[in-house]
Amino acid sequence: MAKGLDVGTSFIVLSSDKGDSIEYTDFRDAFYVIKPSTPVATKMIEKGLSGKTFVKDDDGSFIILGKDAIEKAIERNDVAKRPMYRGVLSVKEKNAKRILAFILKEVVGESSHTNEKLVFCVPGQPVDQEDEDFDVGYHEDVVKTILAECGYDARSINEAEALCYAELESDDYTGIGISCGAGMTNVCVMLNGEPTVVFSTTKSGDWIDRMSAVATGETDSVVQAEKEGGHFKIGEPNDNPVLSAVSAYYERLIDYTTKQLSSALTGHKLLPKFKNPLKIVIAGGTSQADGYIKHFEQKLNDNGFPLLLKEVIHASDPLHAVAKGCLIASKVL
Amino acid sequence: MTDSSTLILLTAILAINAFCAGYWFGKQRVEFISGQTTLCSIKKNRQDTYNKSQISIDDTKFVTDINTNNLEKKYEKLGESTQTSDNISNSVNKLKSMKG
Repeated sequence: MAKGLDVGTSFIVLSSDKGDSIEYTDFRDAFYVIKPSTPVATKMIEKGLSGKTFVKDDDGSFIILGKDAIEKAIERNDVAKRPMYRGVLSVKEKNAKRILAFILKEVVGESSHTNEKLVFCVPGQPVDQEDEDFDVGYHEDVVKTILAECGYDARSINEAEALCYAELESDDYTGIGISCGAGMTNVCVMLNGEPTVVFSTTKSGDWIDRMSAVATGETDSVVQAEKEGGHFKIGEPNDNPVLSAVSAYYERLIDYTTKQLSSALTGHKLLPKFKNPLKIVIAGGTSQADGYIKHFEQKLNDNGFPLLLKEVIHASDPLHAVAKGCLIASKVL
Repeated sequence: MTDSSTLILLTAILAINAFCAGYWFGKQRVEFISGQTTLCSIKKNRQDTYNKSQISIDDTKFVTDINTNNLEKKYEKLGESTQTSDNISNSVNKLKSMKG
């Protein structure tokens, strides 16, 4: 037995092999803290949270977890907190490590045997920002420590590398994987199963939420909920002002990402000389917007992508592809 | 001039020359030794600096204990599970053979 774990900024996804099927366990990576002011308030709040996913801390506060946290934050015109920021443990949140540890232990559970193998994903180094708070090594160590307490022998691989393992089998594991998460966009150029060029950019789903929130005067959580629940097409106007802003920022994000991709790969000394045109596979929650793949392919051509393209496709299961890739890696590496 | 006077004069001249030569050579040697000392000091300082730059401190962040035992659960199950029909054994075998 081995498992795969996508430790994402927005979602945590566990994958387990069940023979002819894969079982995925998804959980929203968010929390919201309510600190009651009086014992009466404590009872009222706890009653009001009936049916929700929450825990009670020893200081009397309630920590709501997952999608319930986002709903509660929206109710209070507030923003849900997240233990992760741009793909790694958030240094801005005081409770980040504790909450992440709790969620991971609950989602992953105890290992079926000592030192059961588990592969989790981490982001690549960003090409568009130097940030002292971006510490993949520390994030890796924290996640490994948490998983070791559950009895796992955990190791990490790059998020986009995992995507390549999940989606490029028919191309002899040669091509490009692009994982468009909430915090970052991760890229991996793979040749015959080996990652050759790996990097990330810091603009992705969260950037769209933030920019749209500023443009419309709403909170990030409201924008995120509208974006994920509403109907819009990239580049097209919408009656809903939030979705209209989201659509416009999506266009800018795709333009930015394809420019960064072209710039990073042009003249890269580690880029292989591919004999055949390449497949690009795209996954991640941010890529689920209507028109994303079509716009992405168009912008790659407009922005001088340096490699010959065979096709640009969407992953068969965009929200679970990275977790599937981690599962495959856990049985190989 | 008598022979003894000449001899005294020659001896005196020789003694003066010997003194001057000794003084000059001695001065040269002192300067040489000082130079060597300075060079050794410089080399030693450089060595010390080089050794210091080789010594680095492990400043990787330390992972402290993460206590989640004081969080009381108020729910039954965390996360939503789904199953997708998918057999990864071919993918695993192919990747294993490619990686060697």
